[in-house]
Amino acid sequence: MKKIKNNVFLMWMAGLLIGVSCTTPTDIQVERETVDLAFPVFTSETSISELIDGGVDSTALVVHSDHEMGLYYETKTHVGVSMPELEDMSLDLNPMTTIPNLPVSGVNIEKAKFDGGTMSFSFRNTQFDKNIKVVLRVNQLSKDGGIFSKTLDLDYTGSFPVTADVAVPLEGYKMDISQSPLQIEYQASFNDGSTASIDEAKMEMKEAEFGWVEGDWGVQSIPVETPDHEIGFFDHYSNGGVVHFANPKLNIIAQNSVGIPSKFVFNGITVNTLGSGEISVFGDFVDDGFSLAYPSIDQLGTYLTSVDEMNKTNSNIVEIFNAQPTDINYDIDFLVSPGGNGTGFIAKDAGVDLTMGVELPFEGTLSDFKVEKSFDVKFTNEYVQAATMKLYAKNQIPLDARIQMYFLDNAGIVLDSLVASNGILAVSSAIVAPSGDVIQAKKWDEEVSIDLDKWSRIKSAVEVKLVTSFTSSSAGQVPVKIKSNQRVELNAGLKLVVQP
Amino acid sequence: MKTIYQIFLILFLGSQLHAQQEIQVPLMSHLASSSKANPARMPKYKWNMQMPSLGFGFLHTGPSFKDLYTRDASGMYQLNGQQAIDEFDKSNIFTGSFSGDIFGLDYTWDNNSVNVRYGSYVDAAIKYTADGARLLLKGNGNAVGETLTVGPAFNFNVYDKLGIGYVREIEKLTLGGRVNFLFGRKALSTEEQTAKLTTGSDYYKLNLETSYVVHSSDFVDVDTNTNKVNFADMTFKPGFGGNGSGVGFDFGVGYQFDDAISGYLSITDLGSITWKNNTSTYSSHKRASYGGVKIESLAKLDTASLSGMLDSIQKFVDFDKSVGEFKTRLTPNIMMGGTWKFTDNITFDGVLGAKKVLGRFLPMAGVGVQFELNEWAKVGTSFSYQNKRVNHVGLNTTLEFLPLQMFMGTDNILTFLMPKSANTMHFRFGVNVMFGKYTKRKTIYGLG
Repeated sequence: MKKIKNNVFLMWMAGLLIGVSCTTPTDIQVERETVDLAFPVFTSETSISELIDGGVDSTALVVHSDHEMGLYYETKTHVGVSMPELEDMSLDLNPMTTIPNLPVSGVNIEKAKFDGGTMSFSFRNTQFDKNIKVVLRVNQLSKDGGIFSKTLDLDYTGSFPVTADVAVPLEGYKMDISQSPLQIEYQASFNDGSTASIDEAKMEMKEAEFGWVEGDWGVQSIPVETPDHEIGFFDHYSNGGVVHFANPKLNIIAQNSVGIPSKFVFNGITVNTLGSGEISVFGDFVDDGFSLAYPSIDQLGTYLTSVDEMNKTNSNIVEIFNAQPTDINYDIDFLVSPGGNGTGFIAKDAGVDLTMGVELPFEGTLSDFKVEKSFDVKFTNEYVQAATMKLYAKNQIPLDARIQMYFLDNAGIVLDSLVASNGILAVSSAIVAPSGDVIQAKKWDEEVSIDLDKWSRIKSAVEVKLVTSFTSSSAGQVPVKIKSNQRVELNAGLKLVVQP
Repeated sequence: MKTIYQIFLILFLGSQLHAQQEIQVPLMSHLASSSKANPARMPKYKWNMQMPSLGFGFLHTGPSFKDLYTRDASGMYQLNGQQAIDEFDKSNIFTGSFSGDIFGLDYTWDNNSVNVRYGSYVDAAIKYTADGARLLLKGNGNAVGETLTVGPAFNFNVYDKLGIGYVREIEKLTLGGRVNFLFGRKALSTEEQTAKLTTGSDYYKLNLETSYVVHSSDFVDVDTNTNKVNFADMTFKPGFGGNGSGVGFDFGVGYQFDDAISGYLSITDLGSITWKNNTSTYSSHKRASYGGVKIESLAKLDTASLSGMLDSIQKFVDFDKSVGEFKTRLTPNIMMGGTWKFTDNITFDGVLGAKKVLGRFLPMAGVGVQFELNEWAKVGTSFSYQNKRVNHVGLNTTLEFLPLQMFMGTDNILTFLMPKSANTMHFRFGVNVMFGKYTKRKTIYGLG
């Protein structure tokens, strides 16, 4: 019995010890299952202007108060009108000397204002041993309401000759010779009031400058030098695709301070295009020229604005802009007194500031219009087995967008693309009314799978090139209006299959 | 109202310390160490000294290893995520413990006995949801468009216990009680543990709703700017923990029904530890959305903008840090047991017990038989119900070469034989030294 008990105990102990010693299973080599991690990568809201920013000179983008927007390219020039120059004069004076024609060319002066120069008078007495007083007067010259008048004293001191000189600055004097020519009067008298005669009286006018001149200018034609008017848009985005601007315009704005009837005459406007070479602009706008508003003498120093517009109703501008213009060349003359009535005035530094602006409202059609954007990347996670990119967009812009991402290596060689070359990753356009206005945003989402093979190819990429191709509604057939408050919300998420 | 709220918090939400439920020790009623479960146990010898008795165990209410993995043709086990997910309960508990009953001394005279106990304990409990396990095993990529309730609750506590007890025998009745002075070493526990993660279907936008509070005492330090976690020195040093203090109580009552049958009822581990030193509290109460790196315009998309993604995600799960004391409560362990002395050499024991860990009620029941093979050897076996399973076969052995009493046992030997199917594990061994006059007590305690 005792032996049995001992055996039971030994078996018990053995069972307990053997059991406990089996604690560590040796045949377990576990492998973890893959884990799917989903997380958002980025969220963005952007407008078409921000998308193409960087490719277009930012000054080219314009937004109007009604959110309508477009591209605007302008060029400016200044048309200066030179002030007539009065030649120096030297005259012997009589008590009443008349100057019927002033030595000035290009204008028959009626009125003027002097900005500089001097008018000098010199009197000489060689015979009278008495004091003589000379009173000078020019009725056509006035300043601050007073007629030009000077008094000179030739006081005898016991020897001859007795002289008196005066030099009068002309600045500020106005001249009115519209009714009578310029007349210089003087009266010489002794102390007792009796008339004296002067042996020698002279007048000199030197370096006279006009502040303004009013008169009859006759017909004059002044060539206008204009720089080439560059249109950068098509140079930047000439990588395929068709852009049709429905309502291009050439705005011409003149700021005119020349007080004479005048106009710009277009001798010719030619446009260099990518599509059709050089094209001439024609139409009523070119034929009619551009007449300017001008200030009256009461508006001296002010600039009056004149605006004209070359558009699809008065020119062939639509044809030109569908040919992808790169620059516009102008041959323009500034024509003074186009009708023959040349009476007016010119002020010092007067001229015309001419601005010509090409406005391309985002209204029209686009087809396969590409925008490219590149950015650096670095993929380092070697545990990733596969990935799915989830794109979600809310599109208020009336353009379909086809997206492709290219993954490039250090040498710029494309390793792979996000979707197959024949694949489509298309963000649908917002819903558009027949007027071209957006009436409802469009929501869109898409999943793009990246399997292990693709991931192994693209994970060494250092650069991603995002190419977006825009097409307006109905495959680019329906004109649409793109406005600044239209935005596309694009969000991206990533689901990674990770092998821990 | 405030008082009611506080009581509610204490009873149901308060962080709890919880010793592993042991079945074998209560069933080995002949063992002096069984006073661990029954404070009313009257020692048989005038002097009884407990030398180190070490035990460890774990319990997992969720699936076993075999439920989680499938074996492929090459013999390699592969995690089968979907199979695993199907096996998880909505709420799952994992507890692990190490109890080192370092020293104990009983002195008994007439109908009285006093005792001293000293030990160090490591208790860990994690409650996690099926959603949390799903997130861990499969990621959130398979829960797009869903909300996962992921907030795990956990308690990790290391503390020392110095107990002074008294047992009084009154005819057939014995009464016992013990005051335990608690010395906290380390703690990491959640006070609030709600975290819901929603992954949007549009582009995986993440929404996080948190009501989360984690207390630490000399456990971790988190740099809330970088979210870098630094763990404290985990080296065990002899002595008493100095980061927290508290008091606990054990009570028991035993009764001798007749010459062969006795029973007892006990409640142990009433009390709490207040942690005061090296404390930090990390809290997050927010509803946050993360939609990825916000880029003003696609035209500005570049590497630099994407590199901010990690920073943004870190801020997304931001925690606020504060310093202050906190309290963790012991988890009361209720136990009821009985012994039937069938012959001089055979006893039958039974035990019922229950405790609540992280809000989850964990009952257990066991029956066992002990054989005295000879004067120095006793063996026993048990069958128990624990963790919703009945397939627990316990074994134990006691060797007595007086004054030495050595024992070892496990609540489930099958754990060691079939570890891949196990979701409980337990093992304990120890040494007692008994000397002095042997007193045949009126109450019986198993064999001997």
